[in-house]
Amino acid sequence: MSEVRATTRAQAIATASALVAGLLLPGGARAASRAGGDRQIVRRLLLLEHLQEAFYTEAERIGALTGASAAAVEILGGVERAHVAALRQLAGSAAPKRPRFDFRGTTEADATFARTAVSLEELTVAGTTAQLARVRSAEVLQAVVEIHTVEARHAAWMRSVAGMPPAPDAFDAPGDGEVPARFLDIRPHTVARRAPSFPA
Amino acid sequence: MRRAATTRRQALAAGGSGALAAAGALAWSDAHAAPSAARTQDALTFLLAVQRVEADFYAGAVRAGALRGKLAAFASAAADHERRHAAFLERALGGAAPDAQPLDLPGELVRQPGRFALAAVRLEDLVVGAFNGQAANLGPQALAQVATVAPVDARHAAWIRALVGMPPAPATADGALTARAVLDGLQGEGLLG
Repeated sequence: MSEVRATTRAQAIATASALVAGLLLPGGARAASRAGGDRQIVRRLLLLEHLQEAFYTEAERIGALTGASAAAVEILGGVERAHVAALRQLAGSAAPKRPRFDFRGTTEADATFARTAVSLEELTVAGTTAQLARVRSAEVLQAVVEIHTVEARHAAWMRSVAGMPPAPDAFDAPGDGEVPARFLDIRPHTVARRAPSFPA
Repeated sequence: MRRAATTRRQALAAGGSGALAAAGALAWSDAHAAPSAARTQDALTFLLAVQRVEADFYAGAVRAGALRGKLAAFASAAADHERRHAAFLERALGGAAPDAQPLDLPGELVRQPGRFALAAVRLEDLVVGAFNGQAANLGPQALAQVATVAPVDARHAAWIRALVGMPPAPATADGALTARAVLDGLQGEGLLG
């Protein structure tokens, strides 16, 4: 690049474009394979996507939201379900069992829904930001980056719904991506062996 | 240009078919090859050029002073963020960062709120696609750096889309764009001066 004397912005960006043209997707120099580390990364991100999927799906099912929250949840539920499906397909046999969550009533009112949605979206964005550079295979990387920016869009959207600045900082810091313990439903769940009978 | 897109995968990718749709369950293995330093530098140089376009566009809009209300607030925040993104990528490139070139934007893009808003939507969506298109070309350190920038541009995209009444997140995946597609898009919007 330093050998090129570009005199206009158009020439400069055209030169930069030429340097990388044809070098993208899911390719580059990354091997088209998935290392053990990638398996763990996909499992971690899948848990975050399951968390969001469950949250929005529950909000849709209850149907108590109004206005901008109701409009958003109709779209976000479908998108997060698609993310879960894509990552589960990517994980193959390494996909974990679907987890259970308890959102403690936050899906039943606009204000608590919006605040919780912001926290879940931010958790996912930060968790994904932290994992990206650890991805080794091309397919996993491409899938994760294409989901990452969608989650960032969701974060901005839900922040706007909650009355918060959509992009509060110039940089999105990485985070631990740990699902809050309060949302993990760790109660024992039993399955009846047969249906109960009732008197006629 | 080091090489043309010759594989079916690259051709499909260039046509907008993202890896998310193509992802399938394959065997896990440990093979790995990180992008070279030269490839990383080329990708960062391209992303810096794109960030400079954004920085100049928003700075020009703020200077023009024609925006009001929520649109002005967006332009002001985006101008600050993009200036910092460009500086960040310049530092990441070290001495390899090319000099910034002056950008002479069409006046209506920064003085007419309607034109500004639609150009901003197009610009932010293009930049998100540019980041996602270059991810596979970045070494781990550069990827970790870029991963803190790309989502902020995605937030900008959602923000300005909402302001103009468009869906903030119109797809389940933000497809990757080739450098050529990004360049063509910027030229089409008059954003290269």
